[in-house]
Amino acid sequence: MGNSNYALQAKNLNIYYGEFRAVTDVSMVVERHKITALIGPSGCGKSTLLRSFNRMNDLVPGARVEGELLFQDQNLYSPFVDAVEVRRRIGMVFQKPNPFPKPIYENVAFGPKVQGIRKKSQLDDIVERSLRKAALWDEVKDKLKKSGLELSGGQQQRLCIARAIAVEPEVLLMDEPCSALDPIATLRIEELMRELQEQYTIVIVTHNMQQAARVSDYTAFMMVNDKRSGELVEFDMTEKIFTNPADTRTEDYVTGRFG
Amino acid sequence: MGGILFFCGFLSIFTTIGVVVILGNQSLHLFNREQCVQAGGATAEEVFCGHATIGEFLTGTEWVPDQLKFGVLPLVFSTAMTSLIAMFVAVPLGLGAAIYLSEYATPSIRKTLKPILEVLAGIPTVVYGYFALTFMSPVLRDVLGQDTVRTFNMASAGLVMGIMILPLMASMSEDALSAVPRSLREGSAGLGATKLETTIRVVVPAAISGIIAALIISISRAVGETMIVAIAAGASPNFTFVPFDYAETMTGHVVRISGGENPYDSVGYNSIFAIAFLLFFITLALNIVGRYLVTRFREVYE
Amino acid sequence: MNHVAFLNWLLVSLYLVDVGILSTPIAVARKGYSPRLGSVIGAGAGLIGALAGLFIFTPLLGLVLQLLQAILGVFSDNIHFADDLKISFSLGAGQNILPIKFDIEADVPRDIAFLRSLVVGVGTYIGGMILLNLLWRFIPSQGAVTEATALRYNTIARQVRGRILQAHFMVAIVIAITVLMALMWNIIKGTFTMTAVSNTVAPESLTDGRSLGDIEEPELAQILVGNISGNRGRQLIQDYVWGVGDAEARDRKSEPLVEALGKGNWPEDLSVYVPNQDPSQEPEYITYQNLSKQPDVVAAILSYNLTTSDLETLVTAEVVQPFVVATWTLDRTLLDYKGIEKELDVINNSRRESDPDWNDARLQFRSWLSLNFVTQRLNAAPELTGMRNAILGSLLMISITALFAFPIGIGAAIYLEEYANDNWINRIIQTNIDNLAGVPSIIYGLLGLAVFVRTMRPITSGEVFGLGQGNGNTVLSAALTMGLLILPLIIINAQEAIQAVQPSIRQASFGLGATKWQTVWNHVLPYAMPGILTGTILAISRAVGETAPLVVVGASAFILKDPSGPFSRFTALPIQIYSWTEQPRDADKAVAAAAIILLLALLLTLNSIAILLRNRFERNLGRH
Repeated sequence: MGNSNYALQAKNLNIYYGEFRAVTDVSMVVERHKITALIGPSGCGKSTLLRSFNRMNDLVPGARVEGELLFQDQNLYSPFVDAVEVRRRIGMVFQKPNPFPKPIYENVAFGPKVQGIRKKSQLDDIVERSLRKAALWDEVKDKLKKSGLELSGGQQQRLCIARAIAVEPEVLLMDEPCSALDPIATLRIEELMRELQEQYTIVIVTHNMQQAARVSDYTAFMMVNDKRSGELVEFDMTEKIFTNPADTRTEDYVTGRFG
Repeated sequence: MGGILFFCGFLSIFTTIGVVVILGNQSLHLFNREQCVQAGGATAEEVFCGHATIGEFLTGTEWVPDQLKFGVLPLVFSTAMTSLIAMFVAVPLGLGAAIYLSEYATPSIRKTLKPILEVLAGIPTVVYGYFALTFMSPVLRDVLGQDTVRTFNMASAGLVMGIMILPLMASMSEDALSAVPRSLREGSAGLGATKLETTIRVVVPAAISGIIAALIISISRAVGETMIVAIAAGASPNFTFVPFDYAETMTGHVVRISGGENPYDSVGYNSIFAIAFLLFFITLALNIVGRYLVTRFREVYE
Repeated sequence: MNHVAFLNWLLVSLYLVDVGILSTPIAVARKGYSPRLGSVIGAGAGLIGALAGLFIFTPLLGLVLQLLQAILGVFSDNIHFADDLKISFSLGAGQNILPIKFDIEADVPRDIAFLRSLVVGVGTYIGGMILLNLLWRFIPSQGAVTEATALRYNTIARQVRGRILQAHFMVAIVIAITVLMALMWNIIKGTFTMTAVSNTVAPESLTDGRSLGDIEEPELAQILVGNISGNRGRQLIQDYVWGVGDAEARDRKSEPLVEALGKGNWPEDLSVYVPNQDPSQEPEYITYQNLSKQPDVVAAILSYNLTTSDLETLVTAEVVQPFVVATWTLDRTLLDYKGIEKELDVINNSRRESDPDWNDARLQFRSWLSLNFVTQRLNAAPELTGMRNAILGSLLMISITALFAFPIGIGAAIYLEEYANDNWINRIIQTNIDNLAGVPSIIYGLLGLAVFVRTMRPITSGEVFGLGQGNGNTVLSAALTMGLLILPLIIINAQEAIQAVQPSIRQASFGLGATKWQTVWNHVLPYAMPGILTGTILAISRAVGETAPLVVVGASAFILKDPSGPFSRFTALPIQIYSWTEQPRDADKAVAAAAIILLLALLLTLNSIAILLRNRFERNLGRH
């Protein structure tokens, strides 16, 4: 199963909220140790699609997914797969930093503790390692007991990234992680993504095309169709999407002609 | 117009001042004036007189106004006992109901369940008193033995009081839990926590000051509750820690004494004011702390 | 105390089994046990721990206590809590519903025995927890498990734990619903009962076999007066026609009765003088004093002032005097009718032996809630009492409460929402209102007692208006007390309703040059009014059910006259529920149950109105 070069493979994915089809017929792949960006005008279903990658949509009453989503050759939406297990292996970072109102240490140790790790030394290790990977260790190592809410916005977002990688996921989903941050903090996060890419596969949703062009290896462009449902218009290497798109709609979007 | 309206608002201040001044003044009569009681019933003409002191009042373990014994501890103790029993019922059940309603119930289930709690909250306490005496006491006596449980006992009053307070505890805790932002729940779920782990480790701790506020307001409600204990807990002071024994509480005593004929400024009249004054300060302190916590909790998430 | 100890043990055991089921699967998943097996092992360990705790740790704890007692005994002779702390139990020997007899040294004072039963709980808990911890630590591993399997087991175990605990949370709701149902059923089974009724005088003997219902007023009055004493007849006039207390009646005993009762209450064709006097003397007026010797006058006045049904009730109450010998609640009536008949025979046989004039009691199904119960006035006998004066008293009181509290409540809410700046005094007012909402109702009762009943007596008794009888515990005092009690609730609710009105409405009004008051009066209040009314009705329904303040301000538990206005003495439904509940006999409790149904019906009506208003309010706001 490790032979496949793909971390995630979506096959004819349809996502419904009640009767409404929010995303129509998406087929795409996410390659290992690469950064894949989902772009598109707001309301095109890119966040919905991202949240379906780790079954986050299960939390929304009435949400339903049809089609296949393969992760290590297993369909994540098969009835034998536990959503909790999926979310442990495919982590998520949200649009607005959402650290728990707990000490920084507890924020990072939350995931491992929930998995059943109790040993103090082991937890200390994980916390330090995760904070280092998230490039936050030097800034917070002396105030691990302070509440995560006391950090700046950019630091909070990196804390959330540290929290997510503390459970050692294989894929990291990021839902517009920089939209609430200032440019300098944004830059830090982008650098961080490049570093994390060595160990993790990253999928990022962004409305900022420059960001997609800067950080991602692959880009998927989505748009709403005439039924107000999100569709995948084009999926390719980032470079190709931004320089020589196959679809005119993509070209219109990336050159800023609409959206 | 503004002046009249201001007066309407200010009337509430008068109420508070009235409570403090009048209750305080009347209770001071108990300590400042010489109190006299007739001893030995109708035949004896002897009159005993004496002074009550505030120290005796707060530390004495016997409450027999007719013998000039004004130790409020037995009444305070039974109030604490019934309230404690009530809390043992109301806190786990109220919190459980709140968690269920806020985290698990679908909107339609919530829509059917919440009115039930509202009905429970709207039932007059005298009806709960009837329930405690005619249902809870007999059940306790059947289950635990007639020799163990007396007809009037603190346990049945406390248990029913817990049921009475359950809706308050549940709705205040539910408000606190629902105020926790969705993003925290998602953050936790995104780390591979189950719904229960999210609830217990993230949502409840985040709402904890609101929940503590609910707890404190509930205690205050239990301490001030009157009719259930007046009907079911017994009609004479008793310094005991056995919940199956009778024991009159502060409120129960006030209601029983004021139900009889008490001439103005008599010993009985003044003594109930002293008890009520103490009760007022206990509940006021609890309420102030509770409200402070609620306000602080709101500030965190708004 | 044996049952208490057993219950303690049972609860702690349940808790231990619960902990075992919830925690063991996760603890042992790493060692290769499937979650289901883990649950079973955990439950077993919890149970074994509970037993070990009982048989090993409880006696150990007992030893510790005895040691402690020995040490403390050096300082004082009065310490006895651990003498003979023995524990024994046997199956199938228990009384009552528990099949297990469970003994902890009887014959000791209650509190010591209770302390000892707590020892059982604590000992069991310690033992059980130790065993569970040992299990989690030392359970043998099932050979090598791949990490993937361990992780999968772990996740499944956590999910299972989540589902079990979710059921725990639901239990809270289930308990709440169960209690609500038990409460309702308890009231219903107390209201509809089988009763055994016996008459003191057989009614047929009074009327030559005719039914009481066929007889006209004058004859009924004659039968009534002919069978009671003169003094009792006079008392009936005092209670039912004159309506004054004993003290006042004594003071005015020489006043001509026609003036005391008022011309309107005096039959036109009845002489105001004592009949058959010596015509040469100054004619003597009929007075309260000589009334007891004038049965015909009493009969005439009663028949003039009371309705046929009132008189019929009086004849039944005063002469026939049916009384309920025994009551059986609805559940027994439905399930154990034979048993009731047997009990009735026993009662009749034993009464007949001691009393030859005993009229055999007959079984009669009785709904204590009936039309008569609503329309008749109070009576000391549970079988005859009605709740009319209590219902009227409650209604009169809440009307006055509403008149008093509603305008002030709205005024305060408007002030706080529309006029008040954010300065210290207004903040104090707001905080104060919030705190007042949490003050126990009995405190308001004492405030009312001191202020309205005592200090403001001349006003609340109606003395300054030349009305009333000089006593301060009137409807008005109670209504004002209730007003103070619900004022904070009305204000808080009204504030919310005013806050819900959109600012745009205010701005539009100001834009047209309206003053603040015009804006509030013409635009804000109309939109907020349904919401304010909803809040007020909910607050009033709180006042309807409040009992403690009423007892304290001196509402009467027993009064025959209907309340005639704000300055009359009165009784109210909750007071009746309280006072009948306090009475010893089953029949009294049945009256309380029926009165509870009336009270709940009244509350239900008020709340339905509030809900209708609320729905309208939401529609109103929705339109803008």
